[in-house]
Amino acid sequence: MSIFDLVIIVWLFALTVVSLLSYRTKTIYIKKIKNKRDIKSKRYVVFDIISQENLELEEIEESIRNAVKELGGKLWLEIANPKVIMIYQNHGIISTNRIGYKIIIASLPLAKVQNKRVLFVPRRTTGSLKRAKKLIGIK
Amino acid sequence: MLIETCVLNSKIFDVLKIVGYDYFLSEDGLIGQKRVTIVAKNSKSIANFLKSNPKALVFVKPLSIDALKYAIINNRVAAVVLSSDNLHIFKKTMLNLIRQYDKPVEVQLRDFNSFVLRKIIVWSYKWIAYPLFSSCASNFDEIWPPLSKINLLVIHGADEEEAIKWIYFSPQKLISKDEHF
Repeated sequence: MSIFDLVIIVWLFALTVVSLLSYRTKTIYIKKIKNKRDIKSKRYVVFDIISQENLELEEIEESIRNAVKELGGKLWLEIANPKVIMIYQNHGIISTNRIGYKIIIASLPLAKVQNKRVLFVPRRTTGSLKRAKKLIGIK
Repeated sequence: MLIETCVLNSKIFDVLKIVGYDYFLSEDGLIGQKRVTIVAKNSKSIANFLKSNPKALVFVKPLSIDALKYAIINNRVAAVVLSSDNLHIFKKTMLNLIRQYDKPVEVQLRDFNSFVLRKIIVWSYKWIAYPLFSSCASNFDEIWPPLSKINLLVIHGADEEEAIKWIYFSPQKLISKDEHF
């Protein structure tokens, strides 16, 4: 082992010690890469129901799910997984996620309830249920 | 101001207001601006129709290159209708002509085809300055709300800004162009 090798080893050891110490004292900024597209974040689509007939929550949900399947197929239905969580007067709230809310809004005009004429009009999309309730008039 | 460029039945005007439209073009002409859609196999049939209908906004669905060329060049024709039946006649030369004359191109969402929608979105970035997306609803449950139209374009690959521009401003250009507004 020459003297040059010894110098290199000492130098590398010193560098390792310094970097470990500075990491512990957080003088080196290490950026943690996070996935910005958090697929779990919820979205609530507020919509109006235009119809002269009474509609049940289940049949509205089924018609919306069929419409999403018609437009985007089974894949998008399972990604978006729309659920009608509330009907109040002639307003409703659909729960979905950040990836699927666009396809739900696009497929609302395709939603047809059997033997009933109905139109679902998307109004707003929010991230909290509290705000969605407020938008349809529930305090 | 939001404009629905095609309604088959004027009786649904109240629902259109609720949905968010302020003005519309109707095929029956009872309320709103009257529009007429003709299916043309050749340029002669368009010329004959224009002579007999001097006032209405004329939309032409051409089925041949000759008819398409005539419809683009003629100032009386408000817009050209694109569908899966006549997609094959929209060649590059015709698209260049559309760009040259700033001719609006309409797609009817009544029985829309994803392939046609994708085509018009791609062409709108380069050739078609004013794409129109119409409901052509004969009943209230066939109306496409503006937000649904925008999201339909977005999921077919359009930018959100462009989709908003096409839905809001293209119909306004169409009407101001024809000086009926």
